[in-house]
Amino acid sequence: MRRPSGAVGALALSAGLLSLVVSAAMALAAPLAAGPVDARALDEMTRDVQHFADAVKDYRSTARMIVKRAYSDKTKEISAKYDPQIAMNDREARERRQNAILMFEGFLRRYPNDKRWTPDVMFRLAELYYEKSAEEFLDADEAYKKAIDSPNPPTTPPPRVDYTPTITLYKRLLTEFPNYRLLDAAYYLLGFCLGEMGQEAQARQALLALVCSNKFKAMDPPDLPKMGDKPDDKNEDPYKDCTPVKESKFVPESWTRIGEFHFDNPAELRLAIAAFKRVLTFKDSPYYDRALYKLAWAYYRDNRFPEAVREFDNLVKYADARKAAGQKVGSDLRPEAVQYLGVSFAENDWDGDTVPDAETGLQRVSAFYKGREDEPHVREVFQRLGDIFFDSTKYAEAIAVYKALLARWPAYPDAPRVQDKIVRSYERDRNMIASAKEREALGRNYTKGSAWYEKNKDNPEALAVAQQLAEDALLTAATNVHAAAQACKTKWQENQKDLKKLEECKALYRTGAELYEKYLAAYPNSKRSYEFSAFYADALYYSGQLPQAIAAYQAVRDSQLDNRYQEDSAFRMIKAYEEIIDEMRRDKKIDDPPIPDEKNTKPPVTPTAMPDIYVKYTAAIDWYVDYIKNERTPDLKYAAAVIALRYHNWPEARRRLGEITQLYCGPNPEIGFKAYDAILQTYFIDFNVEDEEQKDCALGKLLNVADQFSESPCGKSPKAAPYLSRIAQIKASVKTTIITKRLQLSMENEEKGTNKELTVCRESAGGIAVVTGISTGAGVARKPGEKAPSISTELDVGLALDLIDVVNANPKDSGAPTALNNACVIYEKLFQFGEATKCYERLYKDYPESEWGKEALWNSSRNHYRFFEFDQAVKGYLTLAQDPKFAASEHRKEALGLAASLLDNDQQYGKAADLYKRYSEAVADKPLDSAQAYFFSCNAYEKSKEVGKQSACLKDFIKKFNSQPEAGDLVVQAHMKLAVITEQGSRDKAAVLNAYKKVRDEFVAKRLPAATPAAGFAAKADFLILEEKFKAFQKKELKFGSKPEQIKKTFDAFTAESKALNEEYQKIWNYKDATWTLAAFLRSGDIYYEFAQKLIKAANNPPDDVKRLAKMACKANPDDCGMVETQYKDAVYQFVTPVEEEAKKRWKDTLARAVQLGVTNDYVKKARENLSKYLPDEFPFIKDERIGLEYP
Amino acid sequence: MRTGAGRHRSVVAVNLVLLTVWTLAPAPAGAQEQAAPAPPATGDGAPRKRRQPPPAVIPTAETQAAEQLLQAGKYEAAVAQSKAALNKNERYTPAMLVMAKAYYKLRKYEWTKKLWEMMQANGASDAEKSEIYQLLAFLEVEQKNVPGAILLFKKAADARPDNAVIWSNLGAQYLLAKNYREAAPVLERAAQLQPGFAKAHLNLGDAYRGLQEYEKSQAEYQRALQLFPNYADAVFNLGILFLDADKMPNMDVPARMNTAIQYFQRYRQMMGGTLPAGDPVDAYIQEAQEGIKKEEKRLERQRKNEERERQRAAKKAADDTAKAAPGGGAPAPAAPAAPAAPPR
Repeated sequence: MRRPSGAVGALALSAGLLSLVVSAAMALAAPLAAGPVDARALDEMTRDVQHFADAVKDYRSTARMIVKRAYSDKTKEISAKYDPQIAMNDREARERRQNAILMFEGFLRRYPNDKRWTPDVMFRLAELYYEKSAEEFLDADEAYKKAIDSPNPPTTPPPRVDYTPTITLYKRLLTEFPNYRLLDAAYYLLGFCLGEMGQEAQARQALLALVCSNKFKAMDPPDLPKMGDKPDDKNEDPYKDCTPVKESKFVPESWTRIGEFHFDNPAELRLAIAAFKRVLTFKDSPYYDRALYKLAWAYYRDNRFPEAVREFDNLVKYADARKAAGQKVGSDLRPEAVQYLGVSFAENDWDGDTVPDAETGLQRVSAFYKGREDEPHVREVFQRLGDIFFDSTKYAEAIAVYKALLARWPAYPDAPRVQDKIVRSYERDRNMIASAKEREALGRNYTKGSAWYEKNKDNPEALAVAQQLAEDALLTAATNVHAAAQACKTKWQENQKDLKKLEECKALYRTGAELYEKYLAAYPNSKRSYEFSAFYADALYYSGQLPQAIAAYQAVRDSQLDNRYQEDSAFRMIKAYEEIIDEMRRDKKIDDPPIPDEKNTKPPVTPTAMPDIYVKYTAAIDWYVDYIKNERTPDLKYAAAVIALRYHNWPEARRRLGEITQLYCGPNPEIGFKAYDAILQTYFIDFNVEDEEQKDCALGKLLNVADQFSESPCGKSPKAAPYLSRIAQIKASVKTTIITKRLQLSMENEEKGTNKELTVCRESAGGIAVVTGISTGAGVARKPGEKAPSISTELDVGLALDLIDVVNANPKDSGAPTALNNACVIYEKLFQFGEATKCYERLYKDYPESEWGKEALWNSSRNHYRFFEFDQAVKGYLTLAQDPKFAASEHRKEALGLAASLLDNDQQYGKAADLYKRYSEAVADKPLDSAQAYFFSCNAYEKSKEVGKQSACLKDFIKKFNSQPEAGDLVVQAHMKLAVITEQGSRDKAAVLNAYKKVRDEFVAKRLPAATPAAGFAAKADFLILEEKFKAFQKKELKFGSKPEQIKKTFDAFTAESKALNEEYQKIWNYKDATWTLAAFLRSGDIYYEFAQKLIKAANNPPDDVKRLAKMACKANPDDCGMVETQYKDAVYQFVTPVEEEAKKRWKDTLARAVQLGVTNDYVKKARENLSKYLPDEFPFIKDERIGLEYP
Repeated sequence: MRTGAGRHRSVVAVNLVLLTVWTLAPAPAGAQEQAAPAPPATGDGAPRKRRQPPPAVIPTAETQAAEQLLQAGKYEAAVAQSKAALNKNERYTPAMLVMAKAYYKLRKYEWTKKLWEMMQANGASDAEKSEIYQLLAFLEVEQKNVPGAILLFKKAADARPDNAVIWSNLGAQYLLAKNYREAAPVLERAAQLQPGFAKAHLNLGDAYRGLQEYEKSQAEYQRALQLFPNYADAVFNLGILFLDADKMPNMDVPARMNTAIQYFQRYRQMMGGTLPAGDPVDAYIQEAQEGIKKEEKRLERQRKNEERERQRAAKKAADDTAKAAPGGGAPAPAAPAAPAAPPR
C-alpha cells in the first residue's frame, strides 16, 4: 500500500503522536485516493502536521519546565521549613557536645584517678573528641572544596582528619586503667583512629594488642610477628599462638583489619593469609565472607591459584549456603568470587615459571569441579571462565569452555547467552561461517519446541532472553554476513575484473538474503522487521536475485511500519529493473527501439507494444516520482517519458514531458529544456507526415509547444537564450516555408486558373493559420462545428508583405534575394507595377551581385515599360544590353529587342529600327528571331513612311536571310512589300508585274506552306499577275465565222481559253488564303460572265457574209428584213445561257465559300452585286447604305 | 521573337532557413555563426495578424481631370494625368480606361491593348470592360476586320447589355457584312434601349431595308430624321431606299424615283461643301432619272407591244380567215426568247 506523502512530515514525532498524525494523514489521504493526488494539498497537510508536532514538542517542554519549577519550589519550601530547624538542632548538638566535653574535661581535671568513674569518663570523652574531630574535618573539608571551586583556589594541601585528642585519651586510658572493662573497645578504637589518620603500623600494633595480647602491646613501637626459619614454607602461621586480651566481639574485625594492613603490602601476603585465617574461626562473624574473599585473593596475589580457587569457591558455596538457608543476603562478595574463580582458572601460569602451563583453564576447572557438576555455581564458574577468555580475546579457549558448558548443562537457563557468546567469539575471531552456523544454532536450539525450551518453560526470564538472543542471532548473522558482503564488494570494486571475488561477494549476499528471509519468516512481528526487510531486499539485489529483490523492495516501499527506507527501496527497485533490462538486452530478449528522431521514425506514429518489463519499470518510476521528491525525481520522470517515446506512445510521452516542463522549468531548466526538446521532436516527426492536413496540425501543435516554452520559466531563464534563438529560427523557418507554399499555390492558381487551396488543419488551429496570423492558440482544438479558417491562395499584397517581412527579418540570409524577388513578382502579377518596380529596384540595389539582383534590373525595366515609363525602361534595358556587368545575363539580348520594341510601339521608329537591327545581329544564332528583328526594323521604316530606307532595309533583309529556311515567310513578305512599293512608285507595269512574280516565285521556290501569311502574299501576287491575263481576256473579241463549224471551232477555242484562265485562278485556292480564294472564286464567275458578254456581242455583230446574206434577204422580201440576223443571233445565243448559268453558279459559289470561311470582303460584295443583276429576287442588289457608328 | 513583357521568372525555390535543423538542443559552439540571425525583437514570436494591403486611394480628382482632358481632345495631357492618378493607385481602372482611350485617340493602339490587359487583371467593371471592348472593336473596324469587330462588339454588349450605342455599333458591323438578319434584332434592341438615339434608328432602317421591309425601313429613317433633322445619312438612305425598293406601296416607279431624287437632292443640299469626292449621290440621282426614263420607255414599249399584239391579233384573225381558204404558207420561225438584260 502506498503511504501518503503527508505522513513524512510526522516522522520527527513520538510514536504516539506519530500514530495520531498518521491517522490524521491517512484520513486526509482517503479522499485523495479517489482522485489524483493534489501535491499542493499534500504539502499543505505536511506543513500542518509539522506545525502540530512542533506545538506538541513545545507543550512537552513547557510541561517539563513547569514540573521542574514545581519540584524546585516544593524543595525550597521544605528546605525553608526544615533547614532552620536542622541548623538549629546542629548548633544545639554541637553546643551540647561541647558542654559535655567541657564537663567531662572538668571532671577529669577534678577526678583524674577515680577508678570507678574516671575510665568511663575518659572513654566517653574520647568518643566526644572523635565526633568533634570528625565534624571539624567535615567542615574543613567542605570549606576546602568550596575554596577549590572559587576563583582563587587555595594552594595548601587539603585538610586531614585529626583524632589526636581521642588517641591520646585512649592511650591514657589504656595506660592508667589497664583493666578497664571496655579495654577491648579501647584497643579497637585506638587502632581504628590511628588507621584513619594513616598511621597503619600503629593501628596494626593497637589491634594486635587486642587480638594477640600475648605477643603485642599497644604502646609498643609497631612490629611484625617473627617468622620461622623456613622462609619458603608457604603454610607457616605466625599468628597461630595468639591469644586476645579478652573475648571480644572486636576480635574478628580486628583480625580482618590486620589482614588488610598486611594485604596492602605484597611482602606481607603470608601474614595477611594468617590473619584472614584467624577470622575463619568465627563462622558467624559478619567478617567471615570478607575474610574468606580476602584470603582467596591473597592466595591469588601470592600466585597460589589452587588455594585461591578453593577459597573463592568456598566463599561462593558459603554465600549459596546462606542463601539456601533462607538468609536474605548470602554474600555481596559472591559475584567477585565467581569472577576471580574465572580469572584464576583462566590464568595459564599457575606454577609461576613464566611459561604457560600445559593444562588449560578448561582442564583445570573441569578437574576442580569434577564430581561437583550438580552444584549450581559450577556452571556459573564455567561461564565466567568462558567470559574471561572472551574478554581477553582468547576466543578459541572461550568457545571451548562455552561448548563444554553447554555440553554438560544443555538445559542451563543461561545457555542461550552462552551460545550467543560462542557466536560472538567466532565473530570476533573473524570466522563468519562458523559464527553464522552457531547463530543458526542459537536461533534453532532455544526457540519454542526445543528441548531447552521445554526444560525452561517455567522460567519466563530465561525464555525472554533466549528469544531475544535467538532473534538477535539471526539478525546479527544476517547483518554480519551482509556487512561482510558489503566489505567484499568494496574490495572487489578495487579490481572489478576479479570475477571470482564478485562471485564470492554474491554468495555472501545470497547467504545474507537467506538469513534475512529466515528471520523475517520467524519474526514477522519483530520491531525490526521493517529494517531487515530493507536489508533483505538489498541482499537479494546484490546477490543478483533481481526479481526477488524487486518484490522485496516493493514490500519495503509500501510498508506502513516505517518509511526510513522507503525512498531507497523505491529507487533500488528502479535500479533492479534497469539491471534486468540490461540483462535482457544482452540476451537479446528485448531490443530497445531507438529514441525517435526524424531519421529513424516516419509518421504517422502509432504506439508499439511495450515489453512488460518496461511497463513495470515505468510504474516503479511513477511511484517514486509521485511520493519522493528529491534531486533524482526530474531525471526519473524524464527517463519514464523517454520510454514512452521509444515505444511511440506520443500522448503518454507528451503528457509526461509536459509535466516535466511545468514542474522543473523554474528550478531545473536543463531538464525542462530537454523535455521541451523531446516534445518538439515528436511534433517534428509528425510534421513529416505526407498528409498535408496532418502535417499542418502537427505544425500547429509544434508552434504551440514552442510558444509554451517561450512563456515558461524555462524560456525566462538566462540559459534559455540559445533555445529561444533556435525556436525563433524554427518559427521563422516555418513561416518562410508556409509563405513559400502559399506562394507556390498562388502562382499555380494564377497561371493555371485553378483554385487550389492550402490544406489546413481542421481539428485545431494549424501551423499555417498561426503563422499567418489568422488564428491564435496553436494546436487548440476547434469547437464543434467551427470551420477551419481559409488561407488565401491568391496572389495578394499580404503575401508580398509577408515575404518582405521575411527579408527584413533576415536581410543577410542567402535566400533573402529570392524572397524579395518573389514579393516583386507578386506585385507585378497584381499589376502594382509601381510597387513592383520599387521592389525590383531595392532588390537590384541591395543584392546587386545575386542572381535575383541582376534579374531585378530586368524586371524593373519591364515594369517601367508596363507603366509607360519608357525612358526608364529603355534605360534599364540598354544597361542590361550593354553594361559588361550583365554580360552573362540571359536577358541581355532580349533587353535589346525589348528596347527596340518599346521604341517601336512608342512610335520612335528611327531608334527602333536601329535597335532592331542590333538585336538581329545579337540573335544571329537564332535565324528566325534574327530575321524577325530585322524585318521589324524594315517595318519601322515603313511606319515612319521612309520608303527609301524601307526599300533598302527590305533588300538588305532579303540578302541576309534569303538562304535561311526559317525566314522564308518573311522573305516572301519582304518581296511583297517591295512589290507594293514598286507598284506605288513606278508606272512600269512590267516592273510591277515582275515584282509580284518575284513574290510568288519566292514562295514557290521556298516551298512554303499554305495558309500562312506568306501564302497570302503569294496568293495576292498570283492574283494580281492573273489579273493581267484576265484583263487581256476581257479585251479579247469573239468573232464567229458564218459557217456553223467555224462557229463551233471558235467557241470551243474560246471556251478552252476561259477554262484555262479559270483553272489558273483556281490554283490560288491552293494558297488557302480566304481573301484571295474568294477573289479567285469571283474571277471564276467573272470569266464566264465575260465569255457570255462576248457571245452576246458576237451575236449582235454577225460576220460580214451573214450581213450580206441578210441584206440580200431583205431586198428579196422586205418581210424577211432582220430575219437572218435574228437567226444568227439565236444560233449564238443558244451558247450564252449555259455560259451565264456557269457564271452565276461561280458567283454563288463565291458567296457560299465566303459563308463557309466566315469572311466578307469586296470580292464577295462584287459577286453578290453581279448575282443581283441576274437574280434580283434571290440576290437583291442593295446599295451601300450609310451606317451610323458611334465612335468612342 | 517575344515582345512586350517578356517571360516571367516567378516563383522559385525559396531557400531561406528551411526546416532542416529541428532539434531544440543548443547548437554546438560555432554553429551559431552559421545559423540565421535571430529575428528582430519586435515580437516575431507572437503570430502577427495577417497584414492587409493599405486601403486603396481613389484618385478621383486626377481621373476626372484626365477625363476632361480627353474630352477636350488633349490626349497627351490626358495620358499624363491618368498616370498621375495611377501613381496614386495602380489598380484604379477608371484611370486606366481614360488612358486607354487617350492612347486610342493618339492611335497608339499597342498601349490601348496593354491597358486593357491591366484593367482585366485589376477587376475592371463591366462598364469599363464594355468601353474597352468597343475601343478594341474600333481597332478591328479600322483594319476592316468585320468579323473581329463583331466579336468584340458582342463582348462589349454582353458586358453592358443596356448600352444602346454598343448594340447599334454591333448592328452596324452586321450591316457592313450585309448580314441583315443578324443586324435587325440587335438594332431593334438598340433603338428600344435608347429611342432617342438617331444612329440606332438609321441602322435599323438599313437592316429593314436589307430585309426588304421597306415601310419599316422608311419609318426608322424618318424617326432618325425626327430625332436629328439634319441627319444627312438618313436622308441619303431614304434616297437609296426609294431608288431600289421596287415594291414600295402605292407608288409607281416614277413616283418612287422622284421621291428618291428628292431625298438625294436634299442630301446634297445638307452636305453642301462637305460632300466628299466620290460620293455616289449624283450617280444615284442620275440612276433615278434614268429609271424614270426607262420606265417611260418601258411603258412606251409596252404600249407599242400591246399595239403590236393587237395588230397581230387582227392580222391573225384575218389570216385565219384566209387560211380557211386553200394555199396557206409555211409557219414562221418562233421568235427567240429575249435574253435577260445583261449586267452593266
